[in-house]
Amino acid sequence: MHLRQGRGQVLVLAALTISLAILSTQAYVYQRSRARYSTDYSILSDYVLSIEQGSRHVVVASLINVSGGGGASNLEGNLDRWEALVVGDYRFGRCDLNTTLASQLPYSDGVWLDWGTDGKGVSSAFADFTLNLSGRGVGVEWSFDVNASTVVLVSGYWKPTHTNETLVTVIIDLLNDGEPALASNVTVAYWRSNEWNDPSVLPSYSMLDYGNGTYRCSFIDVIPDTPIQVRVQASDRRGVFVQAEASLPER
Amino acid sequence: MIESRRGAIHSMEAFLAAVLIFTALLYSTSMPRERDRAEKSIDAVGMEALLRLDGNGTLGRLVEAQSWDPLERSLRVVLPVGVSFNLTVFSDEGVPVNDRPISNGELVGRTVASVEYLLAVESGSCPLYRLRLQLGG
Repeated sequence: MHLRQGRGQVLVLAALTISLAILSTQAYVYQRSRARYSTDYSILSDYVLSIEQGSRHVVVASLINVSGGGGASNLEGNLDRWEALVVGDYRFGRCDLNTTLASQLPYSDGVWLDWGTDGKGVSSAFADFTLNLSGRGVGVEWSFDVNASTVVLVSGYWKPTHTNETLVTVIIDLLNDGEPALASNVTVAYWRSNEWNDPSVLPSYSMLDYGNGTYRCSFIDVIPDTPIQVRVQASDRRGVFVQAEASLPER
Repeated sequence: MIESRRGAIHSMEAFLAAVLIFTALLYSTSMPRERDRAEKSIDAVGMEALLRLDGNGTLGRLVEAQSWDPLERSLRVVLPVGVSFNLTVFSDEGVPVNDRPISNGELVGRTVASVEYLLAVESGSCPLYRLRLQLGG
């Protein structure tokens, strides 16, 4: 009789035991999944990302220097310094960073400056990188390239006014790595009397910033030379300088 | 009469057992299987903070301009509340650059970690720095 009465309690106790077994197994699996592998991997990937980011900064810094009048060898020199700094970092074992400067045309020593007279000016630097990490249980080979460029596009037109003067309108588009970018400085000059003249001293001068990398400059002056030649010099927010000249048609 | 009551009790016991097992199954399936981001190690948090500041060039600009106060404020913003930090900036030759502590107080917490970050600044002379961020939390 007692055995029959206790059978139900045994059933409940068995269910309780099974429940505890399920929960403890699941908790154990959860605890094991919290191993440090995920965080170590996170730090490693962040480290690789920081080296890639730093490499980009070095290329941009070199482009700022070269476009501002520095020697093209500055890129190589700066990358050598960066490589030496990275190689000296043994956090994840041996760390090697190898750089190859773009040498195919139009690049030379990793730099391409083309400040043309066809309405387009380019300042660009290009380098390939290979990062190797080895030792301390880590083996990473990561290849990436950095292409930093600033492009200015110049277009526009001119038309005579009723006072026999010339109204000149210049449209300037600035691009960073193919995307519209803001300028920190834009200056326009026009060709008259065998020299470049500054239109910002004219009372009719205006420069409109559309806020999306497009600028519109207009001014009125007596300009006998046609087609009108203009020159635009611009620096983007990073400090990379670029220049372009254009012949504006009559509208 | 007694037999039918006993039957009802057995049914109740069986029902209770089923509820127990069902509840255990329900809890076990809702248990997360991976460590979430909030439980990242403190050095990973520090590395991410520096990486984020460097991403838009803020870190390089502030270090190059030696703007230690804005740099300290930026770190306070990007690091989680409750994490203490102390940043030291070294030149690429290993000479300390910051002339005052960049920290939010003493390092406190159960865990103390140190993160090193190599920094290149987008400036004409391309200055290079080594940053050491010590964290407590």
